[in-house]
Amino acid sequence: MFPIHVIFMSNAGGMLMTFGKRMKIALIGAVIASLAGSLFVLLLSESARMLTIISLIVAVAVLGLVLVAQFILEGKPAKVRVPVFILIVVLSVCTVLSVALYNIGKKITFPGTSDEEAYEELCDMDGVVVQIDEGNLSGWRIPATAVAEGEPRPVILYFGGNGENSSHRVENMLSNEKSSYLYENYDFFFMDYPSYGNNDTELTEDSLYQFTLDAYNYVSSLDTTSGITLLSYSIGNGPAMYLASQDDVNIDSMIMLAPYNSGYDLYNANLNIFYGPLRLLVAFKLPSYKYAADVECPVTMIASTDDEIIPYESSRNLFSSLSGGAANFVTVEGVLHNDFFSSPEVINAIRNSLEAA
Amino acid sequence: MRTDMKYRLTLAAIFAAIPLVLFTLTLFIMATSNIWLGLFPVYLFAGAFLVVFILSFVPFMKDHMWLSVIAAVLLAVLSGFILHLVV
Repeated sequence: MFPIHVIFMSNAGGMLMTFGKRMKIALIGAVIASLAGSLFVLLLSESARMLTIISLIVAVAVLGLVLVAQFILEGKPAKVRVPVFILIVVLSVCTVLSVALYNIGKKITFPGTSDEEAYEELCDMDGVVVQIDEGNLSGWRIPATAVAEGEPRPVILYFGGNGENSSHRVENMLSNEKSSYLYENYDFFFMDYPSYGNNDTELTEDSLYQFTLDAYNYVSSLDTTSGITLLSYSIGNGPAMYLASQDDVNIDSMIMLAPYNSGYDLYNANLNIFYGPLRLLVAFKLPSYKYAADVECPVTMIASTDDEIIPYESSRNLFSSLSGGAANFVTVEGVLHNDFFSSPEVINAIRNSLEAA
Repeated sequence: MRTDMKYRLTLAAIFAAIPLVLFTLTLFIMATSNIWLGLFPVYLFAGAFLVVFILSFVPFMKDHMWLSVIAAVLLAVLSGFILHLVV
């Protein structure tokens, strides 16, 4: 510890500046400068701004706490003072790291993507915009190519991965013949999650669940809808499982690609620390295993032993939680997480499941 | 225990800097997919250290060390702004 009046002591009084003092001042200056520069960047970044402000508030609070503690503990022996200071610092570090982990986890789980280029490409198609209490929900519908306009047809309601948005996926499907089986006999609907695509509603676990109900209500209210199959991929399996478990929802079947048991599994797959009280830091708990017990429609789960994002064991655990209707677990090998839609084995499994529905 | 206000403030500032330092490092490393970009605060620290240390040998600056600290802070903020524009 070196008091500031010593640090900034000038040489004007005739005192020579030693090498050690130069080092101390350079170290203090470097800490101040690097903090200022780094915090400046973080404040400029929209996604990190709130987190940075919280961190600055914590730092000011620590400053105040240490000052107050010094006055209160004045005259007390070092064996009392030192633990109090250490406790303050440990608590503040825990607070800041917890806030950082919570928010970073939230951002990684649902980064909120949009694709302007793909959106422009699709401008000739009719987009879907649903009015809800919180604003609008938007997405796209690909009409069934083998069913005459106005005739009843079943619908695939798709819940995508966290890096997807409806414009990107739909544009990709239309330009890739491999995907045409998904909209041959079915209308294909992909509604963007809150904060994705053109949706500016706030994304929370509750708003995510409400979104699934809004999307379902819209699709089921259409005159042409003769039945609904849920197709979900990756993070979309949690919301889809919630929707299928609801009493007043009528789903024909579910096809789940790379499903997971809960949000904890997803977090732990990245950083294996979220157990016990640390589970409070998981922003999206998505407890699919709880909802699975209430799902009554036929379910097909397709999981890869080589999925590097969703642990295969997590998919197996979810499958064992199902207790309702017919269930089928398909294991594929050598398929990476982002290769599900291009894998012939997976495509075959989806086709078989759609034909059986 | 020292009771002068400057000492107390210095101690409090050092304690307050600990969570801030950890926060910036954590956020930079976790939020950027590029590890070299994530080490930006470390580069700033090294750069600012060199600036202040070298300036302490300049005759006028060694009598006004706070000027070299301000110069280092300004350079760091400028670097941060450039990083923000480039990335």
